[in-house]
Amino acid sequence: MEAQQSSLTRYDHFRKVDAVCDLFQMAIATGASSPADLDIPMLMGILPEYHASLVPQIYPEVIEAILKPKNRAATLAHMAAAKRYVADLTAALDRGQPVLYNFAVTTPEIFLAMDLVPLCYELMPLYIAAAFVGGVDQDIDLTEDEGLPGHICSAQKAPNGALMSGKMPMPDIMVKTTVPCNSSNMMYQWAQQQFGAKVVVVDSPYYANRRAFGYYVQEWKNMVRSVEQLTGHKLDEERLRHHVQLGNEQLKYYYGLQELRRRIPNPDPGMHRALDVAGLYLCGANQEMVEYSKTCYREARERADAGIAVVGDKKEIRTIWTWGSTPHMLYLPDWLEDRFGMSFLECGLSYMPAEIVGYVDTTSVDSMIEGLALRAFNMPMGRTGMTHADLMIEDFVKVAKAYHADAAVFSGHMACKHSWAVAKMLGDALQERAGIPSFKWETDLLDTRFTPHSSAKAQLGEFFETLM
Amino acid sequence: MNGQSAVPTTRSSAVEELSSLPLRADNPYIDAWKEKGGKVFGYVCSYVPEELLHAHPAGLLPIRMGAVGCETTEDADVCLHKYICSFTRCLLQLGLAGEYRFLDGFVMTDACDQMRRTYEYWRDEVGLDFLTMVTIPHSVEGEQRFAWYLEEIRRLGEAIAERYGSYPTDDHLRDSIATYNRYRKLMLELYALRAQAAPKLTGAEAMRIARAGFNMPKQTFNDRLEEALGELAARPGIDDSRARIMIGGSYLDDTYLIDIIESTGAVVVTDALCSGRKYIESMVSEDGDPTEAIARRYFEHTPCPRMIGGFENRMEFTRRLAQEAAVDGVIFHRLPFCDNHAVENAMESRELNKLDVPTLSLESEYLATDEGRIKTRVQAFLEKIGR
Repeated sequence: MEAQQSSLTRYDHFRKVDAVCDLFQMAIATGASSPADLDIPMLMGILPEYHASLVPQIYPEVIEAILKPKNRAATLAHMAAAKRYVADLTAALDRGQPVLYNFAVTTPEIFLAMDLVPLCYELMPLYIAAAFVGGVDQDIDLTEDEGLPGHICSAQKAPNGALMSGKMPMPDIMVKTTVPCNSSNMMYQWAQQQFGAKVVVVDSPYYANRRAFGYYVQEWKNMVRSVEQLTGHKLDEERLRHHVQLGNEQLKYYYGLQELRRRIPNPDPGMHRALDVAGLYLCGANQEMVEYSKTCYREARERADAGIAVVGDKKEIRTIWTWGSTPHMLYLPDWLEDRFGMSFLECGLSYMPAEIVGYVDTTSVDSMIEGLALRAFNMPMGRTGMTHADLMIEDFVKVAKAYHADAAVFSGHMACKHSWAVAKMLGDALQERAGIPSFKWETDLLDTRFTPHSSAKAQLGEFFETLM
Repeated sequence: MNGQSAVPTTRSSAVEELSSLPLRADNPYIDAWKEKGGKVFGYVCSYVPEELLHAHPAGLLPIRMGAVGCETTEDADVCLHKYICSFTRCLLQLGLAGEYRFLDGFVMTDACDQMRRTYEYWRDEVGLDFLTMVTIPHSVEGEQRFAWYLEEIRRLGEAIAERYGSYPTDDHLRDSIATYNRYRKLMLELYALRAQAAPKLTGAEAMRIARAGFNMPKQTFNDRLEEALGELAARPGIDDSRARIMIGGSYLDDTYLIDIIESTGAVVVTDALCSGRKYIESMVSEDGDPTEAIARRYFEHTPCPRMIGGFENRMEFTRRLAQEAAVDGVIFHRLPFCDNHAVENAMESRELNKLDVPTLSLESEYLATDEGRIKTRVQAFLEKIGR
């Protein structure tokens, strides 16, 4: 009788992410500090066949970045956390647990506490796009072949294509907060029609006030009830507490890093912002993600105490990225850091105000759900995506001042219309109220063909050269 | 304020008048309304409860804003990137150019990412006496969501009362409900004339009449529409059309696209547009608390694509209309960068194709361009379906 294939090898995205974690860990373990120091033929000789087949597909620039001393420990820690996440997911899949895809701002604690397979719908494609040349372009094409245009967000087109091609498991249920945009909401409806999974809606009210938050908390409670009913899996209070405590611990270091980045010089490498975003999406998932956050904090703290800048001897250009970074150019902040002295302080996908969110109260199920709702209410995208533009503008003016920023970059994801509508007001406000210039450029989160890397580098390089 | 008092003195055939009503500052009904001290409130989204505005004792004339005639977006483009749909930019352009300076108020919604994020521009760059937003849950499932919307409606009424005095009484509201229900019934009669084997009017005529309904006091419009229905019923029908077409998509108030379709010999006999049949269907209950009845109708009417979980309802609506008007094919239209309709049109198209209803998906800017390309595609579609 044929042995059942494990989920890790059955689903290409899991296998790839797992393997790239191994590859990055192995490359760093060699002690090499640049790709030139790596003995590639030797490594290829000892790698498993599948791993070896992936090596030529990895961005050389990413290898270059992760081997740098300032990025090594954090990368190692993040890879360990990602590998653990995949291992836990695939183990649960192999046990036959229901698959729940959740949108990024609903972190996995509640679903883990229900013993489900909580897969952040958008996350696997982010990892793959970050590591592999043209990482998810084919998945995007598959979805577009169904009649969808280029301006629909690739963050959902890519996983949709991955589902179509069997690279990720079929959903039993999907949970969608209605922030941040029409595009993502439509793509969850599309997935519902295409794959037959029920979408449980967590409606996100437009305002950022007490009335809206009360409504939102009730939406979370209703969502928990719906998921319990649909899956037959009850939320386990102790498991929830365990994962919430992990999340609180992870955020303690996350907030600490935010504080450290306010210092001059900035001690925290820019490439970690994209990893932090992935870490936020997996908040509370495992102990390894806590260790990632702790590692980043410890290293940045040591640099800060020693007055070491991430930009080395270069004059530091302290920069806030008012949209976010571009996942398929994971190495970009590192490249800008070392070439132009750009230090990446905060971005629209990493900024979460500690003074508002704080920690989740673990006293009871209700307090934990309320705390998780508060965090989601203020998560990147959750906080500013679907409300008046004023909040996003005020946040970034405040960040620009608190972090002593010299410049802003609006790295606008083309599908993000609501952000593009704010871009001018935001740029004007930063100039008028914080005295810093903004540079706007067009990119796509995951589709490498929209703005080729060479073009992105040329545009950003030109901007930073004018500031040097 | 009684809508009848605003009727211009010159009278022509009702069809002729409704089909050629000037817009915005040239609209004699708006002029007359303002001259008598009335206020004019604009809105765009079909989730804005017009009855609540209409019922206000201060005399509010709700008009559904459009941007027909906009020829450039050069000022709006300073504010908004090209990824924002051209209807949104055209509308803001007209606002910045002062074409909506007669408006006293503008009630926006959060239905669409692009339009909602122009709130600040309307507030800071255009400047209106009254600007507010009614926010809408993204699903109709669950009483909590309806309760949110109902509260939004009540808050709108309170905000207007605070600015212009007094909340409409229940009697005022019931009068408005009756007026609007009559409007919807009459408009459905207009659709019935289009759906006949030999349609009594073209799609372009129907859209121009519907547009007049957005821009006139409803009582006056109802009376004129009733006359128009009589005139239309007496006409000979169009019995030589090449094909019977339904159009679907988002907001469309410019006949540009329909003109192109009908220039091929086809007739647009019905639509599933947000500014068309979706806007018309579903009556407000005339029983119970009138504010709640209004909220219930607007919240639960054939949903906008942004309402998650509403696809079956929308699909059923489209299927029903296609059947009712015996269409040969459906042309879906969307504006570039419209996420809601880009996905919805593809979903509906897929389902219709399973039922052997042929579809064509078109994308074009709100500004009239691309006539040749669109006409070629429509002609090819008609040939493909053997018409």
